[in-house]
Amino acid sequence: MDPARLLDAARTALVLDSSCDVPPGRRCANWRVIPIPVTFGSETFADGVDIDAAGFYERLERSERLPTTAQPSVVTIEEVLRDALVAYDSAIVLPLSRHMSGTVDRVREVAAEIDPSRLMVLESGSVTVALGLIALRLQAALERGVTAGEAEALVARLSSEHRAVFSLETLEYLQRGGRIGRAQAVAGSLLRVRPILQILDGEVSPHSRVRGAHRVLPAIAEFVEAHSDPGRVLHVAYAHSRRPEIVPALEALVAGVRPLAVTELTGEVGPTVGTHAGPGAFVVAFVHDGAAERGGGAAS
Amino acid sequence: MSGPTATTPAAGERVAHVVGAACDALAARADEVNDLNVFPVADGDTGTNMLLTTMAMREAARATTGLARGERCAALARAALVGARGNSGMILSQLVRGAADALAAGDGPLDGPAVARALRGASDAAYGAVRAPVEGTMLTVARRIAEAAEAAPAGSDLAAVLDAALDGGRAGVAETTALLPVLREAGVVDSGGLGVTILLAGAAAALTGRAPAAAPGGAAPRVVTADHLPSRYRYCTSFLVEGEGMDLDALEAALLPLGDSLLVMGDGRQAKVHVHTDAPERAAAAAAAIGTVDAVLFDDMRRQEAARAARLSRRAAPAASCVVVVAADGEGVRELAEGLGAVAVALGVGAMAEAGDAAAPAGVVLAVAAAGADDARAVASARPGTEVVVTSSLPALLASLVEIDPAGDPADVAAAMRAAAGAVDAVEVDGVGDALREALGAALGPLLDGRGPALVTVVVGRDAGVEPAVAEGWVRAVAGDDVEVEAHAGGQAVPALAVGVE
Repeated sequence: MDPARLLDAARTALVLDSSCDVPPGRRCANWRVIPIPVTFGSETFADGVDIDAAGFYERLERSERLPTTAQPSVVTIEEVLRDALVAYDSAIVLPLSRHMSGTVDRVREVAAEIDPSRLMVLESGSVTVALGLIALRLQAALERGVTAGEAEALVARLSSEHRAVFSLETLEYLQRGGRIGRAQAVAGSLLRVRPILQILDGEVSPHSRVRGAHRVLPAIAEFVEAHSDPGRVLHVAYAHSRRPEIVPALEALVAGVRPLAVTELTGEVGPTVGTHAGPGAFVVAFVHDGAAERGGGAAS
Repeated sequence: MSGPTATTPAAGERVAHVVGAACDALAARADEVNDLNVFPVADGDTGTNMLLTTMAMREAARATTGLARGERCAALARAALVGARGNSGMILSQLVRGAADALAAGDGPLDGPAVARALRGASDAAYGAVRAPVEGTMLTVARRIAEAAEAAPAGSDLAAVLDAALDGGRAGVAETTALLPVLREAGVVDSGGLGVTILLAGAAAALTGRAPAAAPGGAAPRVVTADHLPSRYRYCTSFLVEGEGMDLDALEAALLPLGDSLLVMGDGRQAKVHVHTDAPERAAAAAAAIGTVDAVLFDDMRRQEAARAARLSRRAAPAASCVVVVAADGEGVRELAEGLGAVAVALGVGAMAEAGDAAAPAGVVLAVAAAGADDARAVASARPGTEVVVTSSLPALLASLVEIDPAGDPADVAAAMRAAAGAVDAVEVDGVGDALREALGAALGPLLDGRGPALVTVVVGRDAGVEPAVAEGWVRAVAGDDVEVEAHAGGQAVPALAVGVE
């Protein structure tokens, strides 16, 4: 895509994948979502199309076997991209981190065949509502109007500056799915060790470990304080798996240490990410308001 | 050879001989059965579990000489239930119960029709005991065995009925692969079904005095995918509950919230409970409300997993810049320390120095509880750069290990470990039995009072005479719901209970 091409929300679609965990009600009119396949034994479901979070966790509970995720097929990707280009002049595609899935590379190949002049595929270095948060900041820029080059730079900045910290009930799902990356070092199911993990450079990395459930939230607050500036507006997203009551608690926690925090997004960890996180997990993702997008604001 | 169509109830030795033959037949092929085990949990223990269950029956059979047939049957059924291990053992115990009930109901000779009735009783009882029967499992095989025995021509003698039953069993085993997708994927027959057939072949040989018929061979599994989650709960808990007119549905409902992998099998007089839970004493208490609880087993599954994971991860670990060496009394304490990423050795200057040398070129943090302080300092003085962390208690020592960072700087790691240890309030409790429980309650009360959410760690000494799971129950009895509890066998000489509150 020509870096000087002018993009705005009326003429530009934003294509995500189902790992972004943005609830349908929070998605904008110009958004399209590539469903990621989630397989239980011999049955495969398209995330968000024929299985939702509730159905997924219910099945997870009953299933004898752990689900797995796979890259979406070329056909699926092509369908979504072509559909986006029917109603919009161009599209920015923002799949999950390449360190977690090869989806972004497959999307690039498909986009190159369809129409590289109208499609721009960007590396998000993120997943779940952290990816959703990046998408919302990008959407705010599209609503003001930006060039393709500016959009690319904005995503690169958001990708490197955003932080995400999360807690899992168990590391098992992450380990079995092979998505553990550098988090391996914190494994330890004895003595109530709770790993605190983060998304760093597009990968799941250990941050610290604490003992006892009562130490998890203080560790999250500490993370937010250590990685944000009290004097700047902070855009925050939250998601949980089967633990809705944790979200208000997290919001209060973040508001306590960062009064300028604005909740941009709350969601549920869906089937794609839930396959690797399991139930009982939560994530807090945040990024500062940037000079380039100031005025985009928190209003949606 | 004349088929011994017994006209009198066989003596205990005779029954033991038949059960023993079944046992031997399975023992010879238990590993093969284990290897086939991919359902319901691919943990490779079906053969072992069925064997242990059968061995429990053999023990009991010897003691049944002189009993009337009904009593003998009841004793065998009870032995199978009490001795039942794992899912396959639980279902096997129900097969035995069904067969025993059918045999007890008749007073004629043990002939072909009697065996057919027993096999039908076995199949029906097992189907009735499993809440959601799945085809392609040992249930299918038991049913095929019963159907084939019943289909034997009228007038068939004992040997002919057993032959027919075994043919049915072989067909049933072969059928399982097609019936259950997980078996089809792995390219195996059902392990439990094969086990049942092997047991029947062994028993049949003893009953007829013939050489054992070959049970079907199981193809070697193509893949054994370990994609099952281990339980999220800690204790694999099983116990027997006996009473009068017990409501097992109500018991099941009471146990359901406590964990998963719940099996309640048996009848209103006698039932076996199997459940994975974090609060085994609550499960036992729920059962104690309707009957007498016996034969309680708590297996710490997480500990087994953690030991395995620690072994595997050490093998794959990249070079570290900081190694934490823990020197402590008690094998359990050392195992826990290793589970958290430390290198653990026994107390003593020699062992500490050796572990420090082995860690080179990484920097070393030597961590000990008070008892090892002098030795640790002596070792450190001879090894410049060695950091020493001395904690006031065993729980504080374990708590400090949460700060292990193989990529960290030894001085920073040691400082963080001291801070983590400092956050633990520890008490040491000695005594035995009720006195120990009361001393624990008295010591914990003031520490927990008004504290709010907390974590209590109990390290159980080798002479404490109490199971960790029971010690956990003692803590839960005095602590609120927002207190997490974890007890482990530490194996230390003193104290009986080392307790940390943080």
